[in-house]
Amino acid sequence: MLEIRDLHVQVEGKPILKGINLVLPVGQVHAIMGPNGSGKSTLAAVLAGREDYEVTQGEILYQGRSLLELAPEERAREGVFLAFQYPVEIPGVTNMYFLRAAINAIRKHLGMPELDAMDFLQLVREKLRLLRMDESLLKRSVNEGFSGGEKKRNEILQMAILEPRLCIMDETDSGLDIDALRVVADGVNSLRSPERSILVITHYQRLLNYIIPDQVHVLVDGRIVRSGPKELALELEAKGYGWLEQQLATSKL
Amino acid sequence: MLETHRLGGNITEQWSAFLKSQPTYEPRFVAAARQAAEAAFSKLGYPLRRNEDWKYTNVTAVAQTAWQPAPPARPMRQFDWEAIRAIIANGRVVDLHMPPTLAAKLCIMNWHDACREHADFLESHWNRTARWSQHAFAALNTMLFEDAVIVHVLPNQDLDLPVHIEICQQANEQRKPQAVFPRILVVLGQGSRASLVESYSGGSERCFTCGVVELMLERGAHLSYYKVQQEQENSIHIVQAYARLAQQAELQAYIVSLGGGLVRNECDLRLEGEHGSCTLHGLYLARGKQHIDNHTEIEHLAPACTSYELYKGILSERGHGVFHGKIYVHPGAQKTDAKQTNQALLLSDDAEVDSKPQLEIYADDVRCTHGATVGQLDEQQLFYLQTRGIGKEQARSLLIYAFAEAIVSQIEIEPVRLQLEDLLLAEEGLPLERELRRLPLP
Repeated sequence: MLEIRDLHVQVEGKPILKGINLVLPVGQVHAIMGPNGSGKSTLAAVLAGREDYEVTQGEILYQGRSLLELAPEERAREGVFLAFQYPVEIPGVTNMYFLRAAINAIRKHLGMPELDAMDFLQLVREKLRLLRMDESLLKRSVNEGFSGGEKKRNEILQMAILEPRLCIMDETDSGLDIDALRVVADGVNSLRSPERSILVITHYQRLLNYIIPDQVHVLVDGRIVRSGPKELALELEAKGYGWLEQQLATSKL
Repeated sequence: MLETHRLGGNITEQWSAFLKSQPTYEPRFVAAARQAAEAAFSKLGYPLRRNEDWKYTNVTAVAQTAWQPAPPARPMRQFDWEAIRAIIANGRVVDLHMPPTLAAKLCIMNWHDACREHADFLESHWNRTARWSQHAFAALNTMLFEDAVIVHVLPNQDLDLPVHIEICQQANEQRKPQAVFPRILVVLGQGSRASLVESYSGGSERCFTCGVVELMLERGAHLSYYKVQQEQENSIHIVQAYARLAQQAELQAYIVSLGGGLVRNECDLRLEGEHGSCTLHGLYLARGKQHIDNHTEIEHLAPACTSYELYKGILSERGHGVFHGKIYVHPGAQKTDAKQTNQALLLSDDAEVDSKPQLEIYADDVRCTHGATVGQLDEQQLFYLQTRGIGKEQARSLLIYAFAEAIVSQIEIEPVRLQLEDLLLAEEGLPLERELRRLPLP
């Protein structure tokens, strides 16, 4: 599904990602863990197509095609979805209008007819129930005045409605209490499928108690320094990132 | 030659017959007011740009055109929403409709009937708010208006139907330049509540609408006032709205300018009694070569009044926006709370906005703030929309719409709000999604 090869990225001239290699097979869930400032969010943003991040080297293949050549909206239409760490507020645009514009843009790209209003409402209602969200949300502006938890749930709601092939979740657990975390994790788990791959980016292990990854990668200082099975997350939780950072420093000597 | 024009020669020649023999039904005090206005205008002349109030708006085109009276016209639009409705076509009231059951709550009449039947009321209310002795266009209107809509909401009445005044202009067949002088007076009796929608349509490049609106809010009265200007893109629109608010009166105003070539919306508010409050929400869209000037003057004359202004402009192509906001706090108007904001979205290199706050404060215990922002679309919001599959152009359109919608969404009269929303969506090439509105949602 996704293959990242020797990816180097800089922001305002400063190197942030320094040669990332990662293979995410179809149907799998991978987690990327790392301390603050290791480049986790940069990786998420580059995958989604943010323009102010400069790729200086390497490539990203998505379903065998180069992702970097595509505009953000083209990536989305091809099935890439980024759940934002900080979802953006858009006062003046209702969720309903926004969701409908998004789903129709994607359906149009896929050569499918637009959903009529009733079918659309039915789909949205089903997904709202899944995330235990209230219908009144549809009339509210996108993320405006939402609590942290509501914003994160709204991201997963969009994900559930747009049915992407590749989901990238950037720190979706941050700012969530344990109940909200469970709802969000249930939502994500319901989207697990043999045709879909999920990349969970997180600082803490706790989300991975609910969304069990097939593999864990540890990102430190712009590189993946260790990959392993889900137990690696527990080891990290017990020993802290310092353990790996230290190992890295020693290996450099 | 130029000087003659500046002093109104371009108009007074055409209207000389009218000026010499005014309608016989007009009471004597009206004739006196017209003469005083004529004298005031001949002293003032058309404002020049060296006049600080007209620094950014050039009215040479008005002064140099040989305007003529407009021929009678019919209403141009149909409205399918219920209201107490008056239609002013080419300066004359051609339709006036009110459900008879409301007769105990308000009077609505044209100028002729008001002069004939309510001369005392007119004498004590009409032309008491307009500052015709200082404002050339108000003087011009007072000299030359032919008809008017007069509304009196009786004390302690709550109008559940909005009052809608449609002002339309239809060009003459010879396509000669024509000017109309609509005039409106709305008096809200003590403790009454009403909504007023004033919509402007029609016009052409040779049409000039020179209007005066007077709003009087007696003690504790509450008025929601919506001005929606959608005239043809080349017409000239200079309309001065004057309001006086007594103690505890409240005015909520929405000034939306979408059409016109040269547009000046003037709002002159006087807070005359304690605990009065006014809120002005402005929205203006200028593209092509449109010039839209919003000029507000708010005078705090009594203690503990609040005024809040938020204007939003969207300027594209060679559009030019002006926001000039004066706040004058008189001595003794302690505990004044005044806030003024102008936000403009500049969408092209040739678009321009001039923002001029002007605060004059002669009391010491007050809070007055002003702020202006001029910017482009928010990159984060654009990116967010794009990551959901929405193309960049549509995302831009959606954000421009959203910027305007922040004002429009507050319009409580649904048909007016929906019409504006559709118009803004269409303007930005966005799907109207009317069926989404009809979905059964909480």
